[in-house]
Amino acid sequence: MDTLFSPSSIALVGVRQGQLNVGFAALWNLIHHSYEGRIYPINPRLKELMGLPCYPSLQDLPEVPELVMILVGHERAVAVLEDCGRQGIKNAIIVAGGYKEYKSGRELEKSIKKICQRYSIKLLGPNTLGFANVKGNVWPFFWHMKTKPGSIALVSQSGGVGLTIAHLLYEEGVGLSKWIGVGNRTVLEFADYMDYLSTDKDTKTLGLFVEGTEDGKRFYQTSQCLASIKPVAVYKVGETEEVDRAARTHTGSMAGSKAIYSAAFRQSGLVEASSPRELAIILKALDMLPLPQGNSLCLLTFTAGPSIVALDKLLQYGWKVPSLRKEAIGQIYRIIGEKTPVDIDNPVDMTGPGFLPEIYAPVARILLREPFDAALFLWGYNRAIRAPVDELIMMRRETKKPVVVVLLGVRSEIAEEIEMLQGAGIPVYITPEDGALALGALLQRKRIMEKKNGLLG
Amino acid sequence: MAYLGEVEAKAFLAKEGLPVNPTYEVESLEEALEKAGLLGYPVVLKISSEKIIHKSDVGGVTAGIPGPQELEKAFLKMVERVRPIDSQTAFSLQPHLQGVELAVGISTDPSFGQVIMFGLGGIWIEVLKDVTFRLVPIEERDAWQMIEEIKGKKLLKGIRGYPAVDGEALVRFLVEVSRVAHSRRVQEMDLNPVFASGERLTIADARIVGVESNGSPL
Repeated sequence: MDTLFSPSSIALVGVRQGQLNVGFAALWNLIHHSYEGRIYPINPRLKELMGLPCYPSLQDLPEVPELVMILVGHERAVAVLEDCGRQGIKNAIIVAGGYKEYKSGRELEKSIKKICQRYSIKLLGPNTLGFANVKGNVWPFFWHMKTKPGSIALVSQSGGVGLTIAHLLYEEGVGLSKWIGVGNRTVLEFADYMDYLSTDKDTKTLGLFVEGTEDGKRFYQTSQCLASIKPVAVYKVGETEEVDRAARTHTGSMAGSKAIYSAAFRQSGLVEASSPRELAIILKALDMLPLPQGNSLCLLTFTAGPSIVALDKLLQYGWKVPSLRKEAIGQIYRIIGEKTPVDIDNPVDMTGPGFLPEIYAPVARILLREPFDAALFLWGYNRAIRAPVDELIMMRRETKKPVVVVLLGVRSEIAEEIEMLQGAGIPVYITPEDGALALGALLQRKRIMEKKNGLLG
Repeated sequence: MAYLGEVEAKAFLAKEGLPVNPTYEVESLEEALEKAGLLGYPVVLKISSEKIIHKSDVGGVTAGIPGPQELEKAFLKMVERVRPIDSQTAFSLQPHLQGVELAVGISTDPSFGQVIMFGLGGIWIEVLKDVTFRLVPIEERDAWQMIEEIKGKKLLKGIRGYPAVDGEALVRFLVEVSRVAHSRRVQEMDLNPVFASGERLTIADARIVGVESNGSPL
């Protein structure tokens, strides 16, 4: 799989001049993303494209390329694949759709499988945008994706949904190690990519978008293994399914496909999200934060409402919010002023005095020293008041506990604060429920690891 | 594919070490009265027909029959209702149980293979759909999680005169069902209801589709 995702040379079959040609788009992506290997555009009618010499056919190349991206129509693609096999090419991508999802394409898909078996070709797709090895600057990918290098790998059964998740992550300030569009999974299945990514050094965290797989048993076994090594979050589409009332038994008719997938996810230790957006929120948390030691949490705010919204969700996710020790309460009053008319409990709402960074930060520091397992710091942005960014970054370095910041504001206006905090390893969310979801995912991951390590019933 | 109705399914499950409610198949009223005398009242009378799977839908279940007179009445009424649907139908007789009604089942998914279901049972299962699933085989931890996942879990803690259900006993039961389903390759199975009371779990109704005979006749 290494030569598929980090090939030293790539040939592109089906490249023409013109922005609208998928081959041209893939070529552009390879060049634009600074691919360091050798690129061979194949077109018998062109001398050169984007400054690269073109070759009339695969046979005319100066070497056997490590990867061939096949960007021709679905019928011709099969012939090109056969050609690849004869040339000894071991990795290929077929971009075209129109196979098993299209009536007369089923036979073609069977031929693809046979060819790959005969020549032992690892095939990504068909019916895919390709992949992007974002960290390694390898983009055999024919669409546009805005991302940056990071440590999350996305494996998606749909190009469109995979892009949506990548873009949501980018909006959250998080990049990718790899983006893989699995397509029809004719040869390489989910489990193959998951196996590969389990040992991929660039990937710390995995996100999956699943529509369905015919190889559920292997998916389950691979998930079990993978989830004990790296955090994995998944979004599966398909809440309901036609239920067959005439089924022989109740159990058979109750077990809709989604329920079984959810069971498999839970049992194997994947964190399940209920939308692409949730998946992005969860992935960012799993990728950036250490796991908590327990489930006791402290919240700090100077505006009560958002902390209550967060609390409502956090309690559902299994977090406990125990009261502060008397000594801590005393210390906090000494900072915010003994006469501040507020009861200090958890969530710690400092009200008025709390919106100064000189007050907020020392209280936050006290809370991090208290026997809580994690902290959620809420701050309402005001352009007239400095947010305690530097102080929070200092604190982050002093603690091993997960710290999540909810910065209430408009993303474009607080971009700098977000970038600084996240650069220091503090995930920032702009709504309380997102902050809560992040911590919820973290607790779920902790429980998964306890189950895997056999620590808890 | 082998289909085991209530009496045969229970015989199979009992042989595998699962707790079933002793059940007699009876052909006639006389036989019913005789077996009820052996079991002791109250009893439950059900139809036993290959043609009728959802017994209560056709009036094929009468529970809590307190004595011989009521049994006679229930028997005749059931004959009248059910014979038009299946003239060959037999009947079954078992002690009336009390407790929380649970449902445990097995089904086979084309992609994931065997799946175990757990939830609140009885006639409400299809309405409330308060059930949860795991892939077979399960471990004890999976069983604990399943119990935690159902909305009606409070019922297991004992309310409104229902006895509390012992969590560990329930976990052992679920793991056992999973083990039997796994080792005997059960394709589909309904255990509903399973009466739970304290540490006691008793399978009051069962049916099985597709099971490996293991060389021995079932």
